[in-house]
Amino acid sequence: MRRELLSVLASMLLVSALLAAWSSYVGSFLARLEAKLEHNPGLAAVLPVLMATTGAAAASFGSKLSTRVHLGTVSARRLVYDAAVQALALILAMSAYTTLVTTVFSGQLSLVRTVLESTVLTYLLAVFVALVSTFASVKLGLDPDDVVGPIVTTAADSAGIVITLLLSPG
Amino acid sequence: MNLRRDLLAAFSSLMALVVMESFTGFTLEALKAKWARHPELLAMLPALMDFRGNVALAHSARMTTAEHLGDSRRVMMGSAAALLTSFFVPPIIALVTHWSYGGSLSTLVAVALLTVLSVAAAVTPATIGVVRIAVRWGVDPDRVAPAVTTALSDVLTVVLLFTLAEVIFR
Repeated sequence: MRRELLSVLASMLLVSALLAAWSSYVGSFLARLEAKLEHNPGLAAVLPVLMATTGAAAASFGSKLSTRVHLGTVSARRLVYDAAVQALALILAMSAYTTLVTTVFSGQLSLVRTVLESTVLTYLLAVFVALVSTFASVKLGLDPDDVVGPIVTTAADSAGIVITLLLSPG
Repeated sequence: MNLRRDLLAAFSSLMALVVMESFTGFTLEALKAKWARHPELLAMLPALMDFRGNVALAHSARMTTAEHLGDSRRVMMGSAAALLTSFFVPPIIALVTHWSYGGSLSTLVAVALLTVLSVAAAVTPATIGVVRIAVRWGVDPDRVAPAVTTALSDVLTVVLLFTLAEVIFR
């Protein structure tokens, strides 16, 4: 029982510690550009949602890709289709939410444009990470189901923060 | 390939996530005055949210597998590992934040530890509760637990981080 607990703890700890260290480093970038968050009404309300939804959309693409790899049904046409469906759903969801936030917090309409640009760029980057991590994990003999999800969501979180703050005025 | 059906499925799941994560976004926007005074806390926020989200996800995945298998030992093991991980990772987050951004190391360690342990104290039993209720209602816990527990973790992390920090800084 003790050995089993130690083994569960070790696997949880290793991944959590590495990802936490990386996210802390990205967080320092967020704190340095804190003035942008402060001076753009609604931006702080959008950022966590942008990170979560973009990560989820790209992780869903990654999950589908790894299923196709397991089934041996990977093709360029299917990959483009899967990525495009998630992208379209993501753009619709983020447009609706950012419009609501802009209205509630009396933000500027340019917030919608900034958020959509950031969403698309973050998503494209996260999809690229999903593709690379899936094929790399297969090559390394790892199951992409275990690897791709955490890598893609962490990449989307980091890229979401950096890209959104760089594109925001102020 | 049925574009309409696939798009509707992707959009519905992303909108559900938007609704849940909007609580975190609106809370962060409302607490603007607090994080503007202490940007070092903002620097720790993405890492604390990512870490709690990863632990909540791993814990709920273990709980749902344990429920499917009827294995109560696995329930205990998963919960114990989730709680123990919460002691080790927050000091790493505080250390990397101190190194990459600044702030008092002892204060950052205290705030990170107290926040993560308070969130774990609420979310760990909530995860077990959500999984058991889902099973009792005949809903697949795999479809419910991850989204509910990570959204709950995110919003509690934001609220508790700034509330506990205010008490410590006082």
